[in-house]
Amino acid sequence: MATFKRAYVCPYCFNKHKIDEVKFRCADEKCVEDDEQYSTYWEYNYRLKLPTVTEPEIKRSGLSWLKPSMPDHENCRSCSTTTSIRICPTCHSTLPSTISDYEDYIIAVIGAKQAGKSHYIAVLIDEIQNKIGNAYNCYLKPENDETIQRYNRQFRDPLYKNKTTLDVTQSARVNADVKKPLLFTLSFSGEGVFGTKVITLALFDAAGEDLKEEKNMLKHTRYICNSAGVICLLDPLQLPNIREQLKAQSPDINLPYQDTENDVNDVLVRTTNLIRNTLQIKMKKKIDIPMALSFSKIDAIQPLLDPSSKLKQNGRHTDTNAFDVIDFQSVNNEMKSLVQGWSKGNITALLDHNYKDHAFFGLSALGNNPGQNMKVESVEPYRVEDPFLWLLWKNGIIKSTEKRG
Amino acid sequence: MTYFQHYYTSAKSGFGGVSGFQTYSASEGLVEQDIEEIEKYSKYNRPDNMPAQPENESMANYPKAFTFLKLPSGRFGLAFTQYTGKDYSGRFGNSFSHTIVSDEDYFPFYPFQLYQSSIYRNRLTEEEENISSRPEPLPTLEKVTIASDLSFDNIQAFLKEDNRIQILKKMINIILNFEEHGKRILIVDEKEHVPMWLAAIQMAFPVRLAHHLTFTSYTYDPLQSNAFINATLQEGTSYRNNESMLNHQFHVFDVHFNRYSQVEKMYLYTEFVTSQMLENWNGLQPFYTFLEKTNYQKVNEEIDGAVSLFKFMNGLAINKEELRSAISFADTYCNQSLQQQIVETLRDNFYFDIEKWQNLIDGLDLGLAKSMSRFLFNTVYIARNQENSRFAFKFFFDSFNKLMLKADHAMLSETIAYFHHIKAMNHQNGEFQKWALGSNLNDVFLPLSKESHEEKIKFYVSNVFQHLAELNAGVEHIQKEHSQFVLPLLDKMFTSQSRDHYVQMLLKEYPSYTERFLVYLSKKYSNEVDSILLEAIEKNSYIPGAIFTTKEGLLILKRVAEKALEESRSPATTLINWYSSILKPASIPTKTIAELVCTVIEKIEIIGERDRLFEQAEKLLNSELIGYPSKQYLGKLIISIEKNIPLDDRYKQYINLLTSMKKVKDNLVITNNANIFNLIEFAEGLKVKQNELQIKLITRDLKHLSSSKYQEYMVWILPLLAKRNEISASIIQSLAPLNLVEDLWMAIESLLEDKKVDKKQAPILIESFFTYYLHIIKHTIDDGNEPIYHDSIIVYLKDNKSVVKHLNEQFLKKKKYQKEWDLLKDKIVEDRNLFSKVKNIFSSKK
Repeated sequence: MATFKRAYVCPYCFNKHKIDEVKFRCADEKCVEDDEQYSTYWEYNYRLKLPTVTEPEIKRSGLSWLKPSMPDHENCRSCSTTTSIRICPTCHSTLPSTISDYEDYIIAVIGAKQAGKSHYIAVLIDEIQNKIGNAYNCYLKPENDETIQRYNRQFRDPLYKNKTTLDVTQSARVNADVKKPLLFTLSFSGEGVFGTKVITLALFDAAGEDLKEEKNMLKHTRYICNSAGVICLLDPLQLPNIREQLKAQSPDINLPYQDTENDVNDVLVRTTNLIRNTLQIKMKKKIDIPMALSFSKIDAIQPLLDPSSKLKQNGRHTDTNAFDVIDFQSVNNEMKSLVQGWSKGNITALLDHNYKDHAFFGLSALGNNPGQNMKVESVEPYRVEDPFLWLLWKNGIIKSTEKRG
Repeated sequence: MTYFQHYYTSAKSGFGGVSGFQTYSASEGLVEQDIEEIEKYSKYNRPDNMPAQPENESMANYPKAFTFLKLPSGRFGLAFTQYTGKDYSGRFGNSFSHTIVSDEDYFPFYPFQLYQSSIYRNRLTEEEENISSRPEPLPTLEKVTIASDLSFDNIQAFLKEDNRIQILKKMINIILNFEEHGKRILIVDEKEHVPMWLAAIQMAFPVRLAHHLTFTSYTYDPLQSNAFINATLQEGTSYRNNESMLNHQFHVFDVHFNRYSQVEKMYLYTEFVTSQMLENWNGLQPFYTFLEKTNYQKVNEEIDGAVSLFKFMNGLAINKEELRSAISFADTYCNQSLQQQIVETLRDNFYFDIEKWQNLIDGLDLGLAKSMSRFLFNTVYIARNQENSRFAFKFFFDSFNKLMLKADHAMLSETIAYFHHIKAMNHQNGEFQKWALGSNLNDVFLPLSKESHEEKIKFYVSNVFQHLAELNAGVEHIQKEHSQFVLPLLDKMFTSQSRDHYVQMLLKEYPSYTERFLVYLSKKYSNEVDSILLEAIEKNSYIPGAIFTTKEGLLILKRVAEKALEESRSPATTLINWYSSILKPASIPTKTIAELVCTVIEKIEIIGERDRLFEQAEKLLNSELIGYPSKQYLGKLIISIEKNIPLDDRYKQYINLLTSMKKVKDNLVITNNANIFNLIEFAEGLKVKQNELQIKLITRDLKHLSSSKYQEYMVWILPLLAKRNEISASIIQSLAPLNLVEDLWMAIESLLEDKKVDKKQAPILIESFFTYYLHIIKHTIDDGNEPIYHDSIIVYLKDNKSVVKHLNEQFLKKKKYQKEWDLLKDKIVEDRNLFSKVKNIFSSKK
């Protein structure tokens, strides 16, 4: 389902450009020049030598004025090689190949430190590639080498190959790579009313440190404001209430380190403020970015759940190729009441007040506690796909089992 | 000396005010900007092939990043970063970075010397990691312990192995050429070798310069590193041995796989330093000391100049290229006293040895000559040493003249720019002009006069003029000193095509000198010189100078003026202009001016067009110039005017001219001329009663008129006289001297024909004329001569029987001249008979 786009947002620097404003990078690796714009944006002290950048002449006359389109190739101004590598005119990062024709969906994964954001992303991608892919007949393809390498090195290899937990995510303050998204294209093979559909998926993994000050968030996590949905992870084991209940049940339990400064409430407040300030949304208006508040590590609190809890059952969203609204609503209601009971601040009120669409989820990326030695014997994800599919449904990308409304 | 400290790690609490990676603590005195930069250097990524969760003992095998960095404040930092495994929360991926920052511009040792110093902490203690409040600031240190592992001997041994010295040479060459290629260095080697490489590179420079070479001994992603020299591992890092890495991003020294980027430039410095490093470390010290004494504060290819300079100062032979870089270096980076020493060494080396000097001068190219001259003069000006100053001038002029003679067309303007550049440096020093006019001109003028390089000749000739002018030197100066050179060159110029333009320029810029040469050249090229001067005067408002009042000059000037008059359509105007702007101010002798005025008069005389003639004549008459020529010439002028004045009413158009002329004429006695004023006054009846004297004067004036002029005058005045009733036989007699009788009659006849005399007066006019005519016949007969009958009169009478009849009555009545009238009548009849006969002959034939 190609769409008619008049403008696009660069998934790296989030600058908005008219659809015909684009530059090209030479396809010949030997044809290089100092790329000052790229080096400056990505904070290199030295200018990187990258293939030559060519800016095509914008033709805004006749038909192209009525329906401007993005050129798909250009001849290099230095060596005349024809190239189809499109880059952002502002930051010179390589744009997704689908940028001209398909919608881009940025999914931001936020949450306090240790909430399990990186683990969630690692597992989610694997789930999309397998479980969701099978159910929805869709295919997830990394958009570039950088995504492949980064996903493999930082996420897949440690978790699935080396069977260890992931390293602490470095702050974007010292590692500009953290600011770069993992870019994928997700193509749904068409059936029924929705037809074939391709979306560009940009997943951002934030370091907990970078969400601790609004000043830093503005600098390093601006993508939140441009996102199609936010998955906010909350580690239930950081909630004093839960810790106490778990300890009461089994006094020998080995709970993870409690970070007193890690309050999900604060992260949500800062995120909300960031979105409101950046997008200049007045207080009386609600934010229309869907917010999925998800309890991670739900496996650890199984003892505290009601035996009949929906959270003890597997999700049903991948049973068919449609989002199961009944399952979703049950989980949502249950989680909402749990959140109200467990959290100090009034998270539910905060979400009700600020977000047009929000929902509560419970999931576990690893499916078990790696324990003190941080070994992951097996990855057994649990309801990881729920918030992601909810966001796709909210964005009209997948259908549901029921009519909405 | 004080050293600041900084810790960066993931901790529960710290200066960052968060949990996680942050500045844990730092010494007071470190500025915010520097801390931000240190944080960037402090990140650590372990190689992918090393587990995130090692046993404690194997952690020592993880590569350590020893990083030398320059901070925004200008301070330098030395960071030691290593992997520490778990952080306070139990998660893996933590590292610890300890940075030492000097509070001064430089560390007083080579940065690499702090490698593995005991001063560095490896990690935080558990207690520190779990601190819940803000940690205390770190203390500053008074001194740091230098590690001994990297001794000079160890490094030397390392370099000698596996021919590593060749790799080091490439590295140094790349460092020196960085400004050109812009690529940093990436070393890919065993992690144990990396510190040795860093140490060797740094030691190839003095301590101060080594501070320009920031480095890191380990980086996971070289592209993300901000260091100048980077090291990484072949495996487990983002390093890829590919085209982009090898040829574009870095100069790669992949020792592991023996792959190296191409190194294109080699430097003297590299050879010099590496040979010493292998043989004798201490041998480098005097050179490093010398280098530290200069102001050279970067690391680039200019450093070759320091080596050359060092060699030169130590009595070693250097070639032209080395001399070039030495001078350039000395000029840019040496302080005054060192520069002074260099000039003296140069002087002692070359000045007193003619052969050496000649070799030096012969071997120079423009760039080298320029930089040497600039350097010499710069130094001379600061030190004001006479001996050195002479040396500088000698060098400059010898080098310049040599280059000038050698210069082809393409090099000429640059060579001349060299001259002006050095002259500008000497703008306050009159010595320059003296040198420029000095005997060195011999060396150049002689060869120049043999070739015909116009531009070069122009340059030198102009310079001679200019320098003379700048020195306010007299003209004699040229004659004595330089005529022998300049004149042949100017002479040469007179055969060239662009000469005129050039000499015009000289005349404008240096008039007095150029004039002198022109006067000289005029002997040989009088026409050319005249044309040049004429053009200068007429087109460029040039005013000839004093030399043209000399006998020789005057002749030229007069010739030029005559040429101007010759070419002019308005000679009087031209001369008047010349007179006011040139001749009069220059006090040109009266005789010359008079001669020129005579020329003008002659020119006016032959102007065919009346109005232009009168205009020019009037201008001359009204100018001062009219006082110069002889009476004879003035007479000529007046005659040509009078000849051309119409003797009728139109004379009024020229009343101004006549008035001007009268003033002049009043002072003259012109005997062979009709007095135009008398004629006019007579015609106008200005003196109402035509008295006898006036009539006599008229008679005399009329005698000098040409036949046509006379007729013109008569046609004009007779109707006027008639109108005034002044016609009488005696007036007619006065108006018609004997020789003009027939002319008078022709005038009368035309008047009658045109009916310009009214009917009443016409008979009087005819009667008066014939009375006079008969009077003449009588006198002729009385004198015993045969009377002359004018055909025109006889024919008229034959054709006008009524006139004959009228005259017959009149003469019968008067009884005077009756006899003569009868004779005349016979003549008419005789003539008529003759006429009838001829007529009959023709009619019978028909």
